[in-house]
Amino acid sequence: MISILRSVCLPLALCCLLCDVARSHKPSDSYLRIQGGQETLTAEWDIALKDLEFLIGLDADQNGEITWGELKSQREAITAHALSHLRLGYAQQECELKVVDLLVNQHSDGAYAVLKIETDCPGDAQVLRIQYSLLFDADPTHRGLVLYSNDHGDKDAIMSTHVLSPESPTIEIRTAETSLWHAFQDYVGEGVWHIWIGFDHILFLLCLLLPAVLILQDGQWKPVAAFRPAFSSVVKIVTTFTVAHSITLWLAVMEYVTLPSQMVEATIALSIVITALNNLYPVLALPGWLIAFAFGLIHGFGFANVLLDLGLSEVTLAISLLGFNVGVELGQLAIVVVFLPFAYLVRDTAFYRVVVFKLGSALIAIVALIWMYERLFNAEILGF
Amino acid sequence: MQGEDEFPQRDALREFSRFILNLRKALCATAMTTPSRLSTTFGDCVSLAILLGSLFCGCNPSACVAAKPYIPQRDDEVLEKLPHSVLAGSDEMAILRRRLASEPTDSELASMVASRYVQMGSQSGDPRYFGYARAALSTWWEVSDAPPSILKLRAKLKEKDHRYDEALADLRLLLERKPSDVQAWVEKANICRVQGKYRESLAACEQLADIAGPTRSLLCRIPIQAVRGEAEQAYDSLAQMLPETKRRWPAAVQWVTTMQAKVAVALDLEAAEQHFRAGLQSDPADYYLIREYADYLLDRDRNGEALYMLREHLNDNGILLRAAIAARRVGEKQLFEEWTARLQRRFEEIRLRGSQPHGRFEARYLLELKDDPDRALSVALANWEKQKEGRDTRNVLEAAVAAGNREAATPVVEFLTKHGTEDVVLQRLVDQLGNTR
Repeated sequence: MISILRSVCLPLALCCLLCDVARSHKPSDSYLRIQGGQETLTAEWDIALKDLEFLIGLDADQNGEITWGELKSQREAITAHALSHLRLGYAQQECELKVVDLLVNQHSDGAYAVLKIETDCPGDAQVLRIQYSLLFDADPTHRGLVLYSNDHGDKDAIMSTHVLSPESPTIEIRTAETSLWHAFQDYVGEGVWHIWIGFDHILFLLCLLLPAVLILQDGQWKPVAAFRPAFSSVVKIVTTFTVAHSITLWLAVMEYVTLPSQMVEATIALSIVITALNNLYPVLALPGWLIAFAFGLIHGFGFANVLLDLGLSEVTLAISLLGFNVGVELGQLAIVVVFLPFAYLVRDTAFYRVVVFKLGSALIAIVALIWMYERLFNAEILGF
Repeated sequence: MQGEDEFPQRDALREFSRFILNLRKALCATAMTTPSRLSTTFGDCVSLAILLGSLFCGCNPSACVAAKPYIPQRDDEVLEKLPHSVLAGSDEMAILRRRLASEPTDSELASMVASRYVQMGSQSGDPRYFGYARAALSTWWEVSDAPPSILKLRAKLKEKDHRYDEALADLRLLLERKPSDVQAWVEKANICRVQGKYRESLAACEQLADIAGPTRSLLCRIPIQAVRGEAEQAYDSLAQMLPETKRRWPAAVQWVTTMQAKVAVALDLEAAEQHFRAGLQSDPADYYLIREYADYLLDRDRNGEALYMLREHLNDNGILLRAAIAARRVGEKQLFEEWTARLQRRFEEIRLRGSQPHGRFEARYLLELKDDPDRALSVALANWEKQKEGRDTRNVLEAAVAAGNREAATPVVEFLTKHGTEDVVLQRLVDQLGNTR
């Protein structure tokens, strides 16, 4: 045997002077697509038929062709071999894997068997542990490619990929990190949503915005002469409100400061009452932006309660804080965009000064007073 | 989440987020296709923007790797064909492997198993077999005083993996202990030549003269002569030694024929075609020869003939590449698009496993199928740093001509001048390059 080998050695070596050193196909890979985000984790595992032929032997009639019938008849052997070389787990738990279906898939280098796998892992496991050893002892150049995706409505989006090799056969996937962008989007939505349904914030903002197109002269409200001062006072108010509530939102979410939510909600209502009354009887003698800042601090605690109710993980904390804040700002901006042009156009009319400004402020003060009562005594009068 | 239907705003939000998702998908799709025919700076900007876009959206080329899983209709549907050369010995190999598993430190057995797998890998073109060979050598994979037979195979596998310097290091270890190993000197000459280190390559061939006789030494020197200004001599030597080769080493006849064809092409001799045909007649599935002949046909605008020959062997990336080029030139738009996409998928699958596609193929793919001379040039240059065979050199020159970048190709031109390489195709490109600004 050895002598035969020796005699072909030289010619072979010479041939190899010309052998294209390039690789024609790629070496062996398997594709493990794991799908999270649903109730339980599911997976599809593509293993090349050439590899299964090597591991188990599929070509029963030895004619050089692997048929669907031959593949199907080896389903049990394939399942047993595959599942004994893959372990999934989370926290301290080991998941139970079950092959529920056998399919076929075409990759660029040939046909693959697809094992559809169901597990008892929860779909929202934060850290997923994978231990993989398929083919490694037979072919050290084999790689297990893990494609993890999280179902957020667009099923095709692959969120992260990982390569398993004999040198690193175990990995931990932080599933939360893979969906940071989704988390951000979600929290922006929550922020906007909260401004839109949180009438107290809208009313507080309106109270501050109403006098922005007016100017107080000798105890009388007069329309501003130009758009610019009105606009800049609105910008100041919105900005300082944002800065203030961002500070307390952060303090509260990080649990540096915690206040009872009932007290916070009642104080928010009080802040609206005061601001509205200040429009009718300017007693505070403070510029609007300073009022916005002072009361913005209280509103921040209110936002924090919403955010904490949504549930936060440490991984997504920063991203959700940022997203929520951006959302709140977008919501405020929408109100300003609607309100300011309208107020500016009609600022010179009695309608604005009497109906909108005076009556509006009075109405807001009354509504906020009722809220305050409701929140202090857990009563329900208005129902919103 | 309850009662979300009561709030129309929620729907508006949904719409907005769907819009963002669609935007993301569009970005991802753009990131996967390369921009075509853009001027340098603009192209770079677009590539950068696309890169940033793909980072931003976190999209991944793996999305387009897999098709949809399906259940075949009939039990006798053939899913995969196994190469016959491999099939024949598979039972015997299984027995040998089992023996090796029970005696993993039997170096003679291990090198027998590994060399059989290396042979299967070379015949079938499937690198899996190199993986199996490596497994057989696993006891000694990291060991520097491994037995010579193991070192030789280890070097071969590293060479197959394009890790030329590591392969040479193993050969050096081997030759220190066994300086009379003919094959090891041949391998060393081969790798050095591929790397463009012609002097070291020739030195290795000289060693052969003492231990294996003048004919083998000459055989070893011919490929270097051919690229060092002695192409005509090389061509004559090949013709002279063909009878002796036929008599003493029939397995090397195909190599001599291939060499004759290659040198004839470089010298622009009519006989080239004759050599190609002779080689393909004795082995119609010689992929190396098929690729070379395809280039010969493509260079002469005989695209239809090339397409006809190539379409039988699309498993091979080098052949698939040339088939797509031929299909494009004859106006087979559908085939061109399908094969280009297939090649792109193969490249992506290689990247997915953490490796790089072969630069020799990728450069030409970018230039001739994707019309992206700038990227083709940078890929070709990176590949040329590693290996400097004719095709590698040609890729750099062609990309440089297309990109109008004479400067980038300077080291390549200097290399050709230094060694006095005679090759009509390369010379034409160098002249063309000289005419660009």
